Amino acid sequence: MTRKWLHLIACAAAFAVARAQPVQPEVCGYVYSLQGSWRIAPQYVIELKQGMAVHAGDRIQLKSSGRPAHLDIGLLNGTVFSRNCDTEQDCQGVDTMTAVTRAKTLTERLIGMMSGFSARQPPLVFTLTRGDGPRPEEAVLRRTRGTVDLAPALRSTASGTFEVALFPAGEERSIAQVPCRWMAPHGACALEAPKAGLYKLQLSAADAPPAAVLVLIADAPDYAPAAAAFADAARVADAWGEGVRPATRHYFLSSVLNQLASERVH
Amino acid sequence: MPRQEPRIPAWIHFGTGLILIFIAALVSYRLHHTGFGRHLEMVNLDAWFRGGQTVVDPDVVVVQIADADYHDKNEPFQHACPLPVAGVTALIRAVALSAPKVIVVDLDTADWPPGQRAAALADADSALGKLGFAQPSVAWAIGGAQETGGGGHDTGTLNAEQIKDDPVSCFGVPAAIPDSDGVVRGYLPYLLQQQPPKTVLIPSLAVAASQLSKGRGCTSDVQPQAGEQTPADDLVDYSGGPERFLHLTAGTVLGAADSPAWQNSNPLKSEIAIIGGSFQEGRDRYVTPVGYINGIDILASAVATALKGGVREPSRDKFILVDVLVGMFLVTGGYFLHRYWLLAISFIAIPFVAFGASFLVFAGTRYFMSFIPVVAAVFLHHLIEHAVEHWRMQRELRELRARG
Repeated sequence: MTRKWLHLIACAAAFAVARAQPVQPEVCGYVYSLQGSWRIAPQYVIELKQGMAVHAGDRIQLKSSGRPAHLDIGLLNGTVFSRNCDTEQDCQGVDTMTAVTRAKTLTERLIGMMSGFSARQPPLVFTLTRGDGPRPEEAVLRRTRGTVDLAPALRSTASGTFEVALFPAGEERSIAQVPCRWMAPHGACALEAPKAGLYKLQLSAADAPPAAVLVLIADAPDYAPAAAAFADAARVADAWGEGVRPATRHYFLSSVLNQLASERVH
Repeated sequence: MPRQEPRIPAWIHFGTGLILIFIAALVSYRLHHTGFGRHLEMVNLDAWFRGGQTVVDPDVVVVQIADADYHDKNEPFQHACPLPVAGVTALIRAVALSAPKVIVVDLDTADWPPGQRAAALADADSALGKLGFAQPSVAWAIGGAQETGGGGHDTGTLNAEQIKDDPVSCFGVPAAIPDSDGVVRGYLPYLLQQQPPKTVLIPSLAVAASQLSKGRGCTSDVQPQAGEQTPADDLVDYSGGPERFLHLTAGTVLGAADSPAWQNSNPLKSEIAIIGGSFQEGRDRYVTPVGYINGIDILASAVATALKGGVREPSRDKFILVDVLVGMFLVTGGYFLHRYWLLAISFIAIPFVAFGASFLVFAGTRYFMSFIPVVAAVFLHHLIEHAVEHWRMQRELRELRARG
């Protein structure tokens, strides 16, 4: 009986010791480029090689005398640890690797959480990244079973949420107004148009002035020739390059659409 | 000291409480579908993200073309825009040699010549075969530049390769778009595009990556509703911020990929490797609930969210039931702790209880719901009760004085 208890205690002790063993140190990066003999202190037995992992706490030193030498380690936080050694005086010391991931303390988390409920600065949005409001372009749009896909007119518009309105040419009241979540360049923005013809398409975003362009809505039989003619005109406008003012381009393409609309009527 | 009994009968206290809270729950559910209510909820959710723990994600690793990679004339990217095909191809090969489960290419490959994508993987495939590793699945990004498929510059027309759906390779849209306040909180799970005579379903890149990692076709689980044009956003779980993903620079992977030590053990093995750019010229940075971060980190968060089933929002019945339960819990507390000085304390304590409940629900189940309207109802209930009691006491006092 006593032996049985002793055996049990020994097992429990072995288990406790096994649990108490330090966990394997955390990998913090990988060597991807090196020249010279870089070794891990203090034994200097392990020589670093390309592709080898380095761990937090590893102490690294250059042990060869030849110059130049270098070491590049890609750290797991997306940065690079580099040592460039051009003269004898360079790289004499030992570098200690540190962990790249640090858990936030409870205080940091609480402060982060509470900051969300306080007054916030409006988010900074780079206009170059998000675009400077909607930028619709003149286009020939196909009407299929009364529905018009607006994608060709939105091809230069950055992704975002817009209010889209359609005005018959020369009129001030819109005949269709819908919200549109545009995802460049394949978003699905569509609205109902009662008939084909020339329209003003207006896009409004919450934080930018509305922008409008002329579009020609064509039914299926008329669409292909009108779209082909307009594509030719667009290519001509594209060939002008960046030197031409945007307004000139708009006038030209609007005139083409007007011409196409009048040809369709007559 | 004698116990101060509540003067209002229990059935009135709980009856009015239940009615008010039920109304608040209905209002709360209605507000959930309005811009104002949604904004309040999102401010609440943003806070939970910022308070989340940073635990290293076990499934997703980011391989980023950093500023140093992009500007280095000796690296294959050579400060060029668009990124050179040879450079991107070399990076995809290097990532493939690291034996990931899925490669997500969040770079513009729209103008690549036909067959170039397959060629990018062919070299790696033969090397992987020799090493005994399986071929990774690949999700390619479309969008961000005009497509040239189909007829010339016919924007929006996808070719047959781009709309195919198989468990090895497919295309997806990096469909994260900002809310009306400019903060990127969600992504569209898929887009529907009219390509007469049919409607083509294009998955988001996050859904495509998630599906490929499960060995399924990219759109096999996607069921658009009849007549639907644009699906509702799926929320991105930003808990832990971008720091929860391991990041490697493109230079690291390019330099180490052919070495035996790397092929033996590397952080990309059996993971979802997301390749993208974090260099400044890419201008791919956005405002999110956890700060101003790179587009590639938003995609990584979206992929991780899609893998875990998303930030779930409760159904209408659950929404109302949980609201009523939390509200009645607070009303019960108010009944047994019926002191005048407790009214002041409850003004401070009740929001903490409500937000605490919301946080616990989110932290434990990844369900998100806000209890703000219910808190307002409990406040209102407290105020009405105290006002009624005050009015009754005043009346009794007047009656006593009249008798005296």
